[in-house]
Amino acid sequence: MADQGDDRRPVLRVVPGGPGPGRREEEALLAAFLVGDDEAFGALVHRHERLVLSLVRRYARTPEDARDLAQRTFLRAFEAARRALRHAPRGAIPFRRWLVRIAVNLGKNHLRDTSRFRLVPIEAVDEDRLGSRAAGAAEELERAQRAAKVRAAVLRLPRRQREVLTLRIDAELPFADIAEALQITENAARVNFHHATRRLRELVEEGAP
Amino acid sequence: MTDACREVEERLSLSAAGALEGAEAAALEAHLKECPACRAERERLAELLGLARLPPPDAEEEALLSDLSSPMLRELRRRERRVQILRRTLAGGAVAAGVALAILAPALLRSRGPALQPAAVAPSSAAGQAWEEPDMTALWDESAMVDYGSSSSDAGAADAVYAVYDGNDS
Repeated sequence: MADQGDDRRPVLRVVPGGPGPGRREEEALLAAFLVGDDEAFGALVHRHERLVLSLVRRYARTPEDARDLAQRTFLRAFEAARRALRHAPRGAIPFRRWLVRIAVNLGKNHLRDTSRFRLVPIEAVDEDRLGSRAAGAAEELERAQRAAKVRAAVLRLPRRQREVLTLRIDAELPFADIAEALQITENAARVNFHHATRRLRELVEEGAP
Repeated sequence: MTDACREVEERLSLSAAGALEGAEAAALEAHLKECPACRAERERLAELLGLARLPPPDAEEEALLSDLSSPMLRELRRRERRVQILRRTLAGGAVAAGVALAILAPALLRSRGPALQPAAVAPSSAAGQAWEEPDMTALWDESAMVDYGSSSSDAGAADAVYAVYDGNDS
């Protein structure tokens, strides 16, 4: 529902049969939100929340961290869209690309801040639960421990390699989209991914007992 | 490792991540049919990337992340209201300042009027003194904007400037 407290704000609703699917529809939703349509806001968040959460979970120590990072990602992207439309009302808003870029940056900053204290990815927080779940199967427990080690190694990759790797395996983005989000060439994204897998293996082997 | 194996190294990583398609994927599969070492390598990479993937959120986490939009919306609307209040406050302040200036300016100018008079009137002690011609060389030196120095090349530059002043810049 639109904010009832401000009756000066025009209400533009997105109706079925409006702009076609994809980016035009997204821009229509953004425009609708910016003139006060709260339902359009909900639709935009719903459309991208899986993507954003899949990216920020990698850097979050707790589910609350993930929620906070996801919300900050959306808020920054909406603010950026508001400013961009104010300066160039007819300009294209690559909202999805901004979300990816902002999520990656916030994740990187969060990692930097939290690693001062402890470098633990989200699933390691609930180690007790993990242990009890796998208590019946030594093999499963061993795999869970290896997985935790590999995920910790992901966070120690060089920044660009980590970004490319996580955009691929967490968000399953095509390399063309990864390249666009990181403003590098598609070939550079592929090469970075390849180096990331090699480096990841080295890090895991270095850390092996 | 053969040259053919080195050529497909990058594609192995991409394939292990399920990111290889079309002709590239077909070319790699053709190589893998002939090369057990590369097949094994792709399996190892796929396992590594499988371990690197995050597990899906459990029910507890899903519940926590299920409603992102409502708190964000409240935060956004709160910020908007804050910006509107700030704008109104600033606009009101600017109007008030303008009105105050319009009212007070004449009074302020009147109160400052007499203070200007001493500067406008020549000191009475100087009135009886004879006028003396200032030292033009000293005035020229003090008011010069550019110091051309004393080197011969700089002197040439000075001459050019003087020529322009004298109307000789042919």
